Amino acid sequence: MSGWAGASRLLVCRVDFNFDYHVSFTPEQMKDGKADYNYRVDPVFMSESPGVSVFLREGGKIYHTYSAYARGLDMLNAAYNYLDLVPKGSRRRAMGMMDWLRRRDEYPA
Amino acid sequence: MEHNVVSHKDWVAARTKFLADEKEFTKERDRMSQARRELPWELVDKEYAFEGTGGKRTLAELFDGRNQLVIYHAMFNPATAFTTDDVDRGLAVLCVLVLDGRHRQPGDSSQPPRRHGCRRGHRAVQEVRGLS
Repeated sequence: MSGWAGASRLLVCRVDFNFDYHVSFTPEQMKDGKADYNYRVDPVFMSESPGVSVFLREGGKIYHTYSAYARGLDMLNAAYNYLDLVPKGSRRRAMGMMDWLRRRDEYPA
Repeated sequence: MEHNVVSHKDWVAARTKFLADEKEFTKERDRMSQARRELPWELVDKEYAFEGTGGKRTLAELFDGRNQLVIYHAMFNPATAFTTDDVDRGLAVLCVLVLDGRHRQPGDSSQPPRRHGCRRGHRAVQEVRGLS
Protein backbone atom coordinates (compact mmCIF):
# COMPACT_ATOMS: atom_id res chain seq x y z
CA MET A 1 0.00 0.00 0.00
CA SER A 2 1.28 3.40 -0.94
CA GLY A 3 1.03 6.66 0.99
CA TRP A 4 2.09 8.24 4.23
CA ALA A 5 1.70 6.86 7.71
CA GLY A 6 -0.61 8.89 9.97
CA ALA A 7 1.04 12.10 10.98
CA SER A 8 -0.41 13.28 14.24
CA ARG A 9 0.77 10.68 16.74
CA LEU A 10 3.29 11.61 19.39
CA LEU A 11 5.55 8.92 20.71
CA VAL A 12 8.48 8.51 23.02
CA CYS A 13 11.30 6.06 22.55
CA ARG A 14 13.10 5.99 25.87
CA VAL A 15 16.22 4.19 24.83
CA ASP A 16 18.25 4.66 21.68
CA PHE A 17 16.17 6.12 18.90
CA ASN A 18 16.79 9.83 19.48
CA PHE A 19 20.48 9.21 20.23
CA ASP A 20 20.93 7.11 17.07
CA TYR A 21 19.30 9.85 14.99
CA HIS A 22 21.38 12.58 16.65
CA VAL A 23 18.69 14.64 18.36
CA SER A 24 19.50 13.60 21.96
CA PHE A 25 22.89 13.99 23.60
CA THR A 26 24.49 12.23 26.55
CA PRO A 27 25.83 14.14 29.58
CA GLU A 28 29.34 13.13 28.40
CA GLN A 29 28.81 14.60 24.94
CA MET A 30 27.54 17.80 26.52
CA LYS A 31 30.42 17.98 29.00
CA ASP A 32 33.05 17.34 26.33
CA GLY A 33 31.42 19.80 23.94
CA LYS A 34 31.31 17.10 21.27
CA ALA A 35 27.77 16.40 20.10
CA ASP A 36 26.99 15.16 16.60
CA TYR A 37 24.13 17.37 15.40
CA ASN A 38 23.31 18.43 11.84
CA TYR A 39 26.19 16.31 10.50
CA ARG A 40 28.94 18.00 12.43
CA VAL A 41 30.45 17.78 15.89
CA ASP A 42 29.98 20.90 17.99
CA PRO A 43 29.31 21.91 21.58
CA VAL A 44 25.58 21.82 22.43
CA PHE A 45 23.73 23.62 25.22
CA MET A 46 20.66 21.40 25.47
CA SER A 47 20.28 17.65 25.80
CA GLU A 48 17.82 17.53 22.90
CA SER A 49 17.49 19.32 19.56
CA PRO A 50 14.83 19.17 16.86
CA GLY A 51 15.02 17.08 13.71
CA VAL A 52 13.00 15.15 11.15
CA SER A 53 13.72 11.65 9.87
CA VAL A 54 12.22 9.75 6.95
CA PHE A 55 11.86 5.99 6.68
CA LEU A 56 10.77 3.66 3.90
CA ARG A 57 9.45 0.12 4.19
CA GLU A 58 10.14 -2.12 1.23
CA GLY A 59 10.42 -5.88 0.87
CA GLY A 60 9.92 -6.47 4.59
CA LYS A 61 12.84 -4.19 5.44
CA ILE A 62 13.00 -0.66 6.85
CA TYR A 63 15.36 1.93 5.40
CA HIS A 64 16.39 5.34 6.73
CA THR A 65 16.30 7.67 3.72
CA TYR A 66 16.71 11.21 5.10
CA SER A 67 17.20 13.31 8.22
CA ALA A 68 17.32 17.08 8.56
CA TYR A 69 18.04 19.36 11.52
CA ALA A 70 18.20 23.03 12.54
CA ARG A 71 17.39 25.38 9.63
CA GLY A 72 16.80 22.26 7.52
CA LEU A 73 13.42 22.10 9.27
CA ASP A 74 12.29 25.53 8.05
CA MET A 75 10.25 24.03 5.22
CA LEU A 76 8.05 22.17 7.72
CA ASN A 77 6.81 25.40 9.31
CA ALA A 78 4.46 27.15 6.88
CA ALA A 79 4.33 30.18 9.20
CA TYR A 80 7.92 30.94 8.16
CA ASN A 81 6.82 31.11 4.52
CA TYR A 82 4.15 33.67 5.39
CA LEU A 83 6.66 35.69 7.43
CA ASP A 84 8.97 35.74 4.43
CA LEU A 85 6.25 37.44 2.37
CA VAL A 86 5.82 40.47 4.61
CA PRO A 87 8.25 43.42 4.78
CA LYS A 88 8.73 43.54 8.57
CA GLY A 89 7.94 40.06 9.80
CA SER A 90 11.07 38.10 9.29
CA ARG A 91 13.74 39.29 11.69
CA ARG A 92 13.14 36.70 14.40
CA ARG A 93 12.49 34.05 11.79
CA ALA A 94 15.94 34.71 10.38
CA MET A 95 17.37 33.65 13.75
CA GLY A 96 15.71 30.28 13.33
CA MET A 97 14.18 30.36 16.79
CA MET A 98 10.58 29.64 17.75
CA ASP A 99 10.57 31.45 21.09
CA TRP A 100 8.17 34.07 19.67
CA LEU A 101 5.45 31.43 19.56
CA ARG A 102 2.42 31.61 21.87
CA ARG A 103 -0.73 29.56 22.15
CA ARG A 104 -3.55 31.34 20.39
CA ASP A 105 -5.22 32.46 23.65
CA GLU A 106 -1.93 33.78 25.07
CA TYR A 107 -1.50 36.71 22.71
CA PRO A 108 -2.60 40.13 23.99
CA ALA A 109 -6.19 40.87 22.90
CA MET B 1 15.52 54.88 6.97
CA GLU B 2 13.00 55.78 4.26
CA HIS B 3 11.91 52.84 2.10
CA ASN B 4 11.89 53.28 -1.65
CA VAL B 5 8.37 54.28 -2.87
CA VAL B 6 7.78 54.30 -6.64
CA SER B 7 5.06 54.67 -9.29
CA HIS B 8 2.90 51.68 -10.21
CA LYS B 9 4.77 51.29 -13.51
CA ASP B 10 8.13 51.13 -11.72
CA TRP B 11 6.67 48.86 -9.03
CA VAL B 12 5.52 46.34 -11.66
CA ALA B 13 8.89 46.55 -13.40
CA ALA B 14 10.78 45.79 -10.16
CA ARG B 15 8.37 43.00 -9.23
CA THR B 16 8.63 41.40 -12.68
CA LYS B 17 12.42 41.52 -12.56
CA PHE B 18 12.35 39.77 -9.16
CA LEU B 19 9.93 37.14 -10.53
CA ALA B 20 12.73 35.80 -12.72
CA ASP B 21 14.82 35.14 -9.59
CA GLU B 22 11.86 33.49 -7.89
CA LYS B 23 11.30 31.19 -10.86
CA GLU B 24 14.96 30.23 -10.77
CA PHE B 25 14.64 29.42 -7.06
CA THR B 26 11.52 27.31 -7.66
CA LYS B 27 13.32 25.28 -10.32
CA GLU B 28 16.35 24.90 -8.05
CA ARG B 29 14.09 23.63 -5.26
CA ASP B 30 12.57 21.06 -7.65
CA ARG B 31 16.06 19.98 -8.62
CA MET B 32 17.05 19.59 -4.96
CA SER B 33 13.90 17.61 -4.16
CA GLN B 34 14.74 15.23 -7.00
CA ALA B 35 18.32 14.91 -5.72
CA ARG B 36 16.91 14.19 -2.23
CA ARG B 37 14.77 11.37 -3.64
CA GLU B 38 17.89 9.95 -5.29
CA LEU B 39 19.97 9.86 -2.07
CA PRO B 40 21.02 6.35 -1.00
CA TRP B 41 19.13 4.54 1.79
CA GLU B 42 20.55 2.81 4.87
CA LEU B 43 19.09 -0.35 6.37
CA VAL B 44 17.58 -0.01 9.85
CA ASP B 45 18.52 -3.29 11.52
CA LYS B 46 17.79 -2.28 15.09
CA GLU B 47 14.51 -2.86 16.95
CA TYR B 48 13.01 0.30 18.42
CA ALA B 49 10.06 0.37 20.81
CA PHE B 50 7.97 3.53 21.12
CA GLU B 51 5.49 4.44 23.83
CA GLY B 52 2.53 6.68 23.11
CA THR B 53 -1.21 7.05 22.89
CA GLY B 54 -1.52 3.70 21.08
CA GLY B 55 0.53 1.78 23.65
CA LYS B 56 3.89 0.22 22.81
CA ARG B 57 4.75 -0.04 19.11
CA THR B 58 7.76 -0.97 17.01
CA LEU B 59 9.16 1.26 14.25
CA ALA B 60 7.58 -1.09 11.68
CA GLU B 61 4.19 -0.68 13.37
CA LEU B 62 4.41 3.11 13.14
CA PHE B 63 4.04 2.77 9.36
CA ASP B 64 0.38 1.81 9.92
CA GLY B 65 0.46 -0.53 6.91
CA ARG B 66 1.82 2.19 4.62
CA ASN B 67 5.30 2.39 3.16
CA GLN B 68 6.58 5.88 4.00
CA LEU B 69 7.02 7.40 7.44
CA VAL B 70 8.10 10.86 8.56
CA ILE B 71 9.10 11.26 12.21
CA TYR B 72 9.48 14.71 13.75
CA HIS B 73 11.93 14.54 16.65
CA ALA B 74 10.31 16.86 19.19
CA MET B 75 12.19 18.05 22.26
CA PHE B 76 10.31 16.19 24.94
CA ASN B 77 12.53 15.97 27.98
CA PRO B 78 10.87 18.33 30.49
CA ALA B 79 14.01 18.41 32.64
CA THR B 80 16.31 19.71 29.94
CA ALA B 81 14.64 20.98 26.77
CA PHE B 82 13.48 24.58 27.28
CA THR B 83 10.30 24.16 29.32
CA THR B 84 7.34 21.85 28.79
CA ASP B 85 5.36 24.93 27.78
CA ASP B 86 7.77 25.65 24.95
CA VAL B 87 7.63 22.05 23.77
CA ASP B 88 3.86 22.20 23.87
CA ARG B 89 3.81 25.43 21.84
CA GLY B 90 6.19 24.14 19.21
CA LEU B 91 4.19 20.97 18.75
CA ALA B 92 0.92 22.89 18.67
CA VAL B 93 2.01 24.96 15.69
CA LEU B 94 3.50 22.02 13.83
CA CYS B 95 0.41 19.88 14.47
CA VAL B 96 -1.81 22.56 12.98
CA LEU B 97 0.35 22.56 9.88
CA VAL B 98 0.57 18.79 9.44
CA LEU B 99 -2.12 17.26 7.28
CA ASP B 100 -3.96 14.23 8.50
CA GLY B 101 -2.14 11.16 7.19
CA ARG B 102 -5.21 10.02 5.29
CA HIS B 103 -5.01 13.06 3.00
CA ARG B 104 -1.49 12.22 1.90
CA GLN B 105 -2.30 9.46 -0.52
CA PRO B 106 -0.64 10.25 -3.84
CA GLY B 107 -3.09 11.99 -6.15
CA ASP B 108 -5.49 12.82 -3.35
CA SER B 109 -5.25 16.47 -2.48
CA SER B 110 -8.95 17.17 -2.53
CA GLN B 111 -9.56 17.50 1.20
CA PRO B 112 -8.51 20.36 3.46
CA PRO B 113 -6.21 19.91 6.48
CA ARG B 114 -8.01 18.99 9.68
CA ARG B 115 -7.60 20.85 12.92
CA HIS B 116 -8.43 17.92 15.15
CA GLY B 117 -4.91 16.64 14.57
CA CYS B 118 -3.74 19.45 16.82
CA ARG B 119 -6.11 18.67 19.66
CA ARG B 120 -5.11 15.05 19.48
CA GLY B 121 -1.50 16.21 19.66
CA HIS B 122 -2.18 18.18 22.83
CA ARG B 123 -3.75 15.17 24.49
CA ALA B 124 -0.80 13.03 23.52
CA VAL B 125 1.58 15.58 25.03
CA GLN B 126 -0.31 15.39 28.30
CA GLU B 127 -0.04 11.61 28.28
CA VAL B 128 3.63 11.74 27.43
CA ARG B 129 4.22 14.04 30.41
CA GLY B 130 2.45 11.50 32.58
CA LEU B 131 4.91 8.86 31.44
CA SER B 132 8.03 10.66 32.48
